[in-house]
Amino acid sequence: MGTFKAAFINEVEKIYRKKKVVVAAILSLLAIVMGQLLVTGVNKGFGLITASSTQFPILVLSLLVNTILPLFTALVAIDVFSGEFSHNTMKITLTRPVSRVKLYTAKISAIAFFVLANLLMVMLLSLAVGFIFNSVSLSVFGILRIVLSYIVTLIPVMSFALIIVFLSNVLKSGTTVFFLSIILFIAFNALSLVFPRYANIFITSMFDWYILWNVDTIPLGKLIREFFIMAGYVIMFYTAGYYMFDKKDL
Amino acid sequence: MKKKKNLTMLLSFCIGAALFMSTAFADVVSKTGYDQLKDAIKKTVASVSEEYDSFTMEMALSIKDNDKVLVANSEIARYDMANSRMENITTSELAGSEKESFYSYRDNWCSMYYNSNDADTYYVNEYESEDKDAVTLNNFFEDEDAEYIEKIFDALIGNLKEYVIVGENPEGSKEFSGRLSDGQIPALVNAVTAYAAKQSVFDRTVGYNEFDMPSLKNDVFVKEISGRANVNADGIIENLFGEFILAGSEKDGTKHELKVELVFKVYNINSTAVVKPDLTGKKVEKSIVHTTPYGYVSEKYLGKWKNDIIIEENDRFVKIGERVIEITGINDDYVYGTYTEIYKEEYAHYGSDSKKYSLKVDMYDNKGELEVTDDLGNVIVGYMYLDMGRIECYIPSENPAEDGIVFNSSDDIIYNSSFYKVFEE
Repeated sequence: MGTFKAAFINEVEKIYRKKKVVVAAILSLLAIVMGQLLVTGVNKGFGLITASSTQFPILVLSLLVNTILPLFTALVAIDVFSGEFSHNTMKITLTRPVSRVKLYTAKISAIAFFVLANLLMVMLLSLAVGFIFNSVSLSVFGILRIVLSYIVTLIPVMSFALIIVFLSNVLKSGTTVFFLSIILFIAFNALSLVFPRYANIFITSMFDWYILWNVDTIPLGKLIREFFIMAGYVIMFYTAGYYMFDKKDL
Repeated sequence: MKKKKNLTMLLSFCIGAALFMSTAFADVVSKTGYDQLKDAIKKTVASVSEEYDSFTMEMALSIKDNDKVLVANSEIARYDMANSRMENITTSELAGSEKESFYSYRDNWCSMYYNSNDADTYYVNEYESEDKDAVTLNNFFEDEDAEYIEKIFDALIGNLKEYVIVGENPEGSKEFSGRLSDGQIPALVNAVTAYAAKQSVFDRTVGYNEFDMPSLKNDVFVKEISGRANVNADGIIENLFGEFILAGSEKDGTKHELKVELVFKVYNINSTAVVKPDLTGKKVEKSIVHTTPYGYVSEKYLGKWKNDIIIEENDRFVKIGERVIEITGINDDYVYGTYTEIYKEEYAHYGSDSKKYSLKVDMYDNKGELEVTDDLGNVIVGYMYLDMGRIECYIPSENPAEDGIVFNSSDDIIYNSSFYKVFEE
């Protein structure tokens, strides 16, 4: 466990030394500001309340989860694997006294950590902005709902990230993986629009599964089904990705 | 060791794949509460419009402002499709005015109308010939565009579908319910709905103030949307209840909550009877409805029709004569007549080249096509419509603006194509 912890901290450090993380933070912040400006503009202009203070973070989440978050998750995932292969720094990492499975898991945990940190940062900021600028409708239940929505979003985003991890272990070039991820993201979204019945097979349509957690009577059957579909994705691509990572000769 | 590792990996991958395949399949075949509700709505509409011999429908709508009733409308419609009869009783109550009720009856041969506030008079319309479509209900899901509208609607509401909860009873009936409170309504849906309400109701105060509708100007938002429905074992919606709460404040800051409630029921399926009301001893006002086009064209159109020939002179309209159409004959296919212009003596020079025409109108096949023949036997084509109490006649050669030059000099004759009946007094 000690070696895993060390490897995990090491990977997190590496991610947060990258400029990309700063860019991701700035863009997330920008999304909040733009969202708030839009809401304030519409409210003042038309005499409406488009988003109350507890609605605003959900509005931001719905924007974030379909744009900035998957994009930067893909970038980070590619960096963690393809980046190290191409810079030949993977060798250095592997010479440490840590087994490959632990290193692989540590890298994926680090990606998950990045996603969660990003989500939580946006949540706190949008909550704060929401309370300052929008009419207050404070309720413990409302805040609980927001926290839950942001946290459960980690699962679908990580399922998508594991596909990218697998791809970056198969293909050499990070750029190829990045473009492939983008194409995959667009294709999944398009397919779930064309075949709404099969939408849940395409992982991107589950990015907004936090809505299920928001319903007064939680649709348990649906929730469990979607969770299992994502779990299936995670197990398959985790294993396949590890198989490729394990076989790699450096 | 290596073999064991590979086996573990293979096993793990297979478990993942099995988990994915089985739940994905279950997810694809499972019908959400929303889909089931949609099916029930379609089944209900199809059944009442095509299948059932008779049924009773009830609808009610009320609008409350902070618990003060502004509008309460209810309607009971009884349909007897087998005998082509229907009746409808509507009661309407607006804040600050008296309760009103309307009764109407319809079958293939007549329709009746009765208003409680109108001196107990029954208005009866009798059809000239049988109208076989008098009592029908349209299945709007069979319209060409319905499928696309449904698809767009589905896409728009997206994951809100999950808010429809369905409970199944052992005997096969189902209960649907759903509730969206303000934190759960997506900002876009909220904004669009609130804005639409504001535009269509509050910003158009004229006509609404008769029942004290508050004019919400600021902070308008959708506070809650909820609904309930019961579906019987046959998949028919027996009752449906919907509620919509819109909140906002007036210019002076007074806060309002407008609650719109909607109830819909279907009952007495195949056991509803509609009886034609007996009007003996009642005050009745009867009129005949012509069901064929131009069915009203009869000999009452025979005789002289005219309008004035007018010019503009020294900033005044001056009558210089008359255009006269005389309808001389009407048969099943054609209307015959003549057209002349009569000028006053002092303006006779205007009429120096005026012509006499004989007219023949094709009433049905070509819908008002007019054959105009002048003294020399030249034929031109115009149009003539026999409207109720009025004739519209257009003869191209008589219209000075015909070749695109409109009133190029002040003493041009002003064209007029409407003719009025000349009555002998």
